[in-house]
Amino acid sequence: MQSINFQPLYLSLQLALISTILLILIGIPISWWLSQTKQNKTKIIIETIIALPLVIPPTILGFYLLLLFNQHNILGKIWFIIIGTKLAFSFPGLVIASCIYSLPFIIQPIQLAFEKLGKRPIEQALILQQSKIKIFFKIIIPLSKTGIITGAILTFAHTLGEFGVVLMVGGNIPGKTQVISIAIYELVEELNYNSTHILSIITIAISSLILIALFSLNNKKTK
Amino acid sequence: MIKNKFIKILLIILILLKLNICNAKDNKIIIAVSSNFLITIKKIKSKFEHEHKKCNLLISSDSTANIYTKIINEAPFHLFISADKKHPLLLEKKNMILYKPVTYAIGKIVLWIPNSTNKIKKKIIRTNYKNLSISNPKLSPYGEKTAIILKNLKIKSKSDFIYGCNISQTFNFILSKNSEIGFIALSQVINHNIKKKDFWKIPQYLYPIIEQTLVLLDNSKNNKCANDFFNYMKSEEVKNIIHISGYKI
Amino acid sequence: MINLKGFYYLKFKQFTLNITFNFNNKGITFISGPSGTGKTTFLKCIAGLIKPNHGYLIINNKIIQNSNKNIFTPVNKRKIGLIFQDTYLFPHINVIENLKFGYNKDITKDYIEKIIITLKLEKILNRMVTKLSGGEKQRVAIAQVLLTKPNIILLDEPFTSQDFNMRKKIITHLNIINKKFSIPMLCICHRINEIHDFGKKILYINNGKIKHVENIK
Repeated sequence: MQSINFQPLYLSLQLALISTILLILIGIPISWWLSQTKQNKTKIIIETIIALPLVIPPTILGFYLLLLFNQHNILGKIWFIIIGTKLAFSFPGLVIASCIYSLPFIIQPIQLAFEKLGKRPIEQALILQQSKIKIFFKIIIPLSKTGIITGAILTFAHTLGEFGVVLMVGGNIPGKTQVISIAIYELVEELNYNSTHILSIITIAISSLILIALFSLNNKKTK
Repeated sequence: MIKNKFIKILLIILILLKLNICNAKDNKIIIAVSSNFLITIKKIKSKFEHEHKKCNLLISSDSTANIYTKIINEAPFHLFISADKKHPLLLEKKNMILYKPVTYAIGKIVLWIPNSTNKIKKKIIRTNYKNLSISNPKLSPYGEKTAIILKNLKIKSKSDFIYGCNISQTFNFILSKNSEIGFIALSQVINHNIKKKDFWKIPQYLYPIIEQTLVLLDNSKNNKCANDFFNYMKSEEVKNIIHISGYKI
Repeated sequence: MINLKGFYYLKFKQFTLNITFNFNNKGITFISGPSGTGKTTFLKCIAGLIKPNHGYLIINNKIIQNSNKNIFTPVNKRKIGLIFQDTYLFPHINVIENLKFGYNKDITKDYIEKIIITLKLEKILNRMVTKLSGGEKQRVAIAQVLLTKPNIILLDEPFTSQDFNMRKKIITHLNIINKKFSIPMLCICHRINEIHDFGKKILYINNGKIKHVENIK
């Protein structure tokens, strides 16, 4: 009876968690800019670029990312100079790939939430002589919580299920880039259906628990 | 309060993740192995780790061509266990290996028809079997040689042929009954206890010898475990394991 | 006493706001006129929520905005209170948190208590905004603005959705506030007959211009 290796599962959860947190931090300012900008050429171009990962096949995305991460190309070079390790086939590389891949999933719900707010709350707060920073953190963010949490849920789930991009950029290296989706793929290849079932069920259970926790947080807000 | 529950769950996850990150940095080496050898390498790994307690082997499997692509894209592998000689030699030309390629096994191809009613011989392939499975000749050395077998048997490729990314996927197609017939490795037949009546060992004259070689990559320069493992692969003990697994030495 | 002097030019589809003004405001000044002719726009320009095509605003000889010299004091620095036509309170916090949101740093505890008592808010301080009646919401909104200690309060039809009794209550409150806290007010209102007793002046606005000014005796 083979002992089951849970490391791919931890790796996937780590990847999903870190990517989601990073995307919330990056996504909020971008979504804010998009919600406050009138429709013009620049806005359309940026919205298109953000939405591209939705339509491009993951393997194409993975392929170009791998080229980008190569030590001899811009991103890989900068990374090597600053951090000192190679970006390709590394966990940080996966995080960057996941963030690009899941970007539309964080931006769109938050942008919608910001747009739904309208100008009224901001105008009210300005009349009350509050600074723009205070308004952003004390009014806009709390009132957009549903959108932010929805974006977080979608991003987390999307990153957890990644396969194509991770395969190309990650290289299936155990302990570093062998995430759960690839590990299970490999187990099936080995015909180790026993481990496949156990690992899959545990993954589904943990993912469900996390989603339930996030959804109940959301529902509390709408009460 | 639900918010507290959420925070608790998040903390538990973070703790679990921290445990993962804090794995002691033992001597970890990463071995890239072609799919056909995956099951065998795992047997070798457990024996090696038993005798070299400080070394921790991580196995990454894929088709030979894909592994080659990863290596030239600077994947952090220490050893490459290939299913051919061609790719290790290409790496040698690029000065990415430490010693000349070492032949560790001779692979054999078999034709597998699960639950066949007739005796399997050369002529059988001409019978109307659906969805012949072979490994993609562009990615897998086994597939490449299978293409030569088909050519020698004067069998043209049909529209319903199924190409597996690697030999394991090919095996899966046949096992799951998506294919009625296909070419797989002898090692797979041995590892999965396939009935003798269901397969035919292809005569060597129909295809070039599959010389499987392994190389130590330049990532392993000062890595004791990697060098030890490289030498271990040449030992009698390993040769026995490989032989039992369905390869010729 | 506050002196408001200025000029606004703003082109709309329906009309053009072309308003020059210079008046002293003590007590309550009313603005009246047909709907859709610029009254709300005028108030919003003064508050800084709408930027005119060109114009300037000088309050008590201090330049608040001047489009020729590219001067524009942001809304949150003008110390001008505005009670909107539709009352909006922040729905994610309760009444006392809403009130606290705009607290001026110079505010005394006495001042806060005075306002809460005048506007009869003691009983609803801990309630969530969604559980308030229309009239309660309006009183909270007025208190919220008062607690920022503005130099002038602009009101945009604060009586519309209220019944007769409520209207009477609100205008009485406004009068008390004006007297007690000495804050001049500029109020848009249609029902002139009801407000006659309380204001000093009425500005009639039509077609984006001040048509005439009436002093109430």
